[in-house]
Amino acid sequence: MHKEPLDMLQQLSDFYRDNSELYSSFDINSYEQLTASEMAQFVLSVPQKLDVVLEDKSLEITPLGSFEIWSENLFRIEKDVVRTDRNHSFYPSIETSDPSEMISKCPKMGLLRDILMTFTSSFPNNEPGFVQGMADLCSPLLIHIEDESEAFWCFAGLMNKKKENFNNDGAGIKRQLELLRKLLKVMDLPLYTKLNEIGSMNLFCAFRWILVLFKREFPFEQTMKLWDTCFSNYYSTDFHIFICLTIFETHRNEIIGHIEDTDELLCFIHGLSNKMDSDAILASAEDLFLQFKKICKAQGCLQEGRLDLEKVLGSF
Amino acid sequence: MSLQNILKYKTVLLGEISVGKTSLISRLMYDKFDDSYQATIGIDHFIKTMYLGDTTIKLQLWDTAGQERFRSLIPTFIRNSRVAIVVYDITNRSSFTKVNSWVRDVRNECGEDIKVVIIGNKVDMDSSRKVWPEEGEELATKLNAIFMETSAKTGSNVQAMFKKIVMDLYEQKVPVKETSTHLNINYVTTSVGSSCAC
Repeated sequence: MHKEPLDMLQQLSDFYRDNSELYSSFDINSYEQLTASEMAQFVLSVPQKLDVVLEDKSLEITPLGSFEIWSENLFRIEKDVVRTDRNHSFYPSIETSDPSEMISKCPKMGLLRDILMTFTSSFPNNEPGFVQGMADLCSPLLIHIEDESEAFWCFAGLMNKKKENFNNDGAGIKRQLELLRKLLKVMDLPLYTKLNEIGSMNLFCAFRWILVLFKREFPFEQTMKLWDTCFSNYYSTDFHIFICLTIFETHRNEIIGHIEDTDELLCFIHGLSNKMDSDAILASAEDLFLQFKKICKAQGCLQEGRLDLEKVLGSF
Repeated sequence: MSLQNILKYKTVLLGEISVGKTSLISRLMYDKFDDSYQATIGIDHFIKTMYLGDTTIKLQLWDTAGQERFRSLIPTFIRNSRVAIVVYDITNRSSFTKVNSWVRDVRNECGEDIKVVIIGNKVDMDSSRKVWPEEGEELATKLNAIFMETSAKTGSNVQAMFKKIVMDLYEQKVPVKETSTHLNINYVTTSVGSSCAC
C-alpha cells in the first residue's frame, strides 16, 4: 500500500513515542561497551518494528545502519536541544552540563528532542538527517503550540517549505543568495558594486539569516513577527529576501564607507544581531517591495497575482 | 596610535559539534562562560586586539560550525589562515578520533606552513574523561602540532594558549603587515598589556 510521507511521519512519531524508554535507557556514548545481548536487543528491535510500521520498502533501514544513524542523530540533537532558546521562559533553567541529564529533567526539552528525532529518522538514507539550525526552527513552534503532535506536524510542514535550506549540497541556500544578489543589483547598484569590489559577492554574511529565518538576528518575539509576515506569503513567497535586502539597505552607508573586505563585512553584519528593530525593518521591507514592483512595472515584467521573485528577476 | 604597526593573524577554530569552540573564544574575548551558547550557524568572526610593546596585534578568530554539512562553506574563509586550532572534547572519544581529519583538511586548504594547535577542552569534567592527555600529546607529535588541554568553563589554560600562539607568531616575524587607520566597527578591543609585553 502506498503511504504518503506524512502518514509515515505520524506512524514514526507514534513508534518513537511508544519506544522512547528504549532509546532513553540507551547511553549512546558507551554503546561500544554494551553486552552482546543488549546490543542485539536494541539493533534487532528497531528494524523489526520499523518494518511493521513502514510498509514502503524504500524506507527500510538496515539494522546496523539504522543504529549508527539513530545514535548520531540523537547525539547531535541532544547537544543542540539543550542550547536552543535557553533564555526563553518555556524551558526552565537546569543546573547541569550533561545534555541527556538536562533533557531528562526538563520534559519540554524532551518534547523538542522527540520531535526532531522523529522527523530526522523518517527519511531514507538519513537525508537530510539532522542539520544544525533545525532546532532553531522547531523550538518556536513547540513554544507556541505546546502540544507535541501538533508542533510536530507544523514543523514537518515548515520543513517541507524550507527543505532546500538543508540540502546536502547547499544548493537551496545558494539559490536564495543568488536571488538576493540579483535583487541588490536592481535596487542598489552602488552597494552591489561595493560588495563586488570587496569580494563579498557570495553574500555569505546572509547565510545565517536565510538558514534559520532571522532567528539569530532578532529577539524571540520580534522573530515571530517576521515569521508571521513571511509565512503569510502576502506579497511573495520570497518576502524574506526583501528582509535581507532591507538589512543591507539600512546599513548601506556604513558598508560603502567603511567596510574593506569580506572578513569585516561578516563581522559587521553578525554584529547587528539583536540590535535591529524588526518593526522598522518590516516597514522598510514593504516599501522596498512596493518600489521593486514599480520598477518591474516600468520594465514591463510584472505578472498577475503574487510576485514570483525568481521569475521576475530572471527577466531583468 | 594611528600610524603604529598592526599585525593581523588569521586563526580558525575547527572541531566537532559542541566541543567548545565558541566557548573558548568567549573566554578569550569576554572572560566569561555561558553553557547555553547557541550552536554556531555557518561561521562567525571575532577580533581580539592585543598589544606587544608598540605593536598592535589583531588576532582574527574564525569560529566555525562543527557539523560536517557546513564544511563546504569553510574553505573560503580559512584560506590564508596562519593558525588552526582544532578542538576536541576530552569527555567525547569520537570528537578526538576526528581531529586527524580536521588537521588533514586544514593542511590541504592552507598548506603545510599553517601552525596547528590541538586542544583537548572541558578538563573541568575530568571525572567523565575519555581521552587521556598522553593520547593528545602523542597525536599532536605525530601531526606536528602544539598540544594543550583547556577548560573554557573555568578558564584554565585559555589565555595562556592564545598568548602562546601570538608570541610564537610574533617571534617568527613573518607577519602579514599593514598600516591601518580605517574605522573599525563593533570590534571588541582588549589589552593584555604588560603581562604580554616582551
